[in-house]
Amino acid sequence: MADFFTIRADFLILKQKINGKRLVYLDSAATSQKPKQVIEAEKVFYETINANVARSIHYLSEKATEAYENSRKKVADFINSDSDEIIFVRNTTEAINLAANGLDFKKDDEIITTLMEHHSNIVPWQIICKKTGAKLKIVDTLPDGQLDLKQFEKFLSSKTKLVAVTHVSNVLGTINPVKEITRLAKKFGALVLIDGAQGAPHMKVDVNDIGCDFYAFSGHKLLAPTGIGVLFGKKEILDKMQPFLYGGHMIKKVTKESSTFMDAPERFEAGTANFAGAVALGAAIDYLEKIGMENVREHEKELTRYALEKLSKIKDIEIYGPKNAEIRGGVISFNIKGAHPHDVAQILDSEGIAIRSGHACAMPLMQRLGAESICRASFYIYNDKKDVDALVKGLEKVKGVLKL
Amino acid sequence: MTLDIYAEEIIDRFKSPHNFGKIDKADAQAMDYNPACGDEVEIFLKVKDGKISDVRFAGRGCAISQAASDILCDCAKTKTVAELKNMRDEDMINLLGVKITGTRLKCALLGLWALRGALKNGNRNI
Repeated sequence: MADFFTIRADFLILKQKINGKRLVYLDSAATSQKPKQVIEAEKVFYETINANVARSIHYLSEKATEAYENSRKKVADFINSDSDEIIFVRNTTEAINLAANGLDFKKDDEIITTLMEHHSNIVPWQIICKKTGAKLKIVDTLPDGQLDLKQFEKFLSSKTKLVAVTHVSNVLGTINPVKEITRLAKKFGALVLIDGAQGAPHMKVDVNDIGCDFYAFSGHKLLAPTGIGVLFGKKEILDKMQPFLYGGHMIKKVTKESSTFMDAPERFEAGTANFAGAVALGAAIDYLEKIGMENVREHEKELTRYALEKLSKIKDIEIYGPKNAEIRGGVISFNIKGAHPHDVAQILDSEGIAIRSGHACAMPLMQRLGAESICRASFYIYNDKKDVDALVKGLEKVKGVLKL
Repeated sequence: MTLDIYAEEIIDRFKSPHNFGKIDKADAQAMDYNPACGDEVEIFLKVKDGKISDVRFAGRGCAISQAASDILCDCAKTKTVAELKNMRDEDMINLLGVKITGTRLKCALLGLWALRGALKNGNRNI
């Protein structure tokens, strides 16, 4: 088992005091902190081999290209796919938009998504439907925070062109049965896109085993810098898709009249890429692989179980999502009766505790929960039970300040 | 310290605002909305001879947005329409009397935005 006690020491940001208190960072679902090894990898890239990739014939460009492609291979192995199925993008949002715009939708096609999606897995599909006349169907959530799979099965038909579903809900923490969802969708020949923003950083992902056509995730939630993300796409599907952005690097030949394009992944990587970010993402994956993704998941499961138990004892708290840590990632959203999430977050901040407050970019789900906004605590490898204890104590202070 | 904003008066007004409610047949009303949190505040105005004769607010939100709206209503009662139209963001922060950090500015100003909307959309010659 990995030593999670020493892991915290790699995250220099966590050494500081906030308002005189030990920093308790419980907002990793928004963005993760970065270990010094990842920051160092980006620094070393810039200090030793920085040059534009796949362009120039000189030592630095060779080295930079090698490092960039090496990272692509690491990402591919990380989710059990092939290098030419890995497209580097900015983040999950861009990855989903790339797929949405690259696929060919027609009137009468149907796209199925769910109520527990982040806006980035709803809005692009709404726009595609508006443009093409395709129809969007949204699978509801059940009171226990799981997807209504019966409704999903009813929605599926030969008209279903694509199913877009989140691996792990960024609000409810629900881990969706994506393999089963994919199996059901495939019976009707539908494509499946999985939003892995809250999945890939926290558990072993095997896209081959899941059988999905697309899997999208962000580097910045996975110990890597901002501005680097990944879209996995099955090779045979990527080759049929239209490019999303046009320009340098993605072309084969350009004349005054017309242009031809490279194959995937270059076809989808127009312009100078964030290669330093990609290299740092490779370092982040190395860091996680050293711990082992199974250990990451076990650690977070244990914390989630502990937090659910402690938090549920607080009077007038409402916790959203599954109560069973086996089907729940390290994300716990809650509300305290009479306390607005912004006030809760602000008072917790005075204790050095960082949580998310607001609609968490999931407004349709908020409506379903009957909440305007929520408080959300989320965990990662550098959190421990002390952080949960601090949160529980902080919430008592919230009640005191707000006279609840 | 960040907790200064939860001064006694803010909490008291949050829990029992003086001016919460709606006005039937208001001369002007408008709602504004903070997309960051879903909070909304609606302001209702009654105007007589260019002066505010009654003002109420409704809606939901955090302690800051609710207390600020309540304080704004108390202030508005002593003002003319012209004076209110000239009210700046800083005036609202000064009225609140607590230190507001950048992330909470929208909370503090939500009531004022709604008030501005009402003054603009007034359904009679206010």
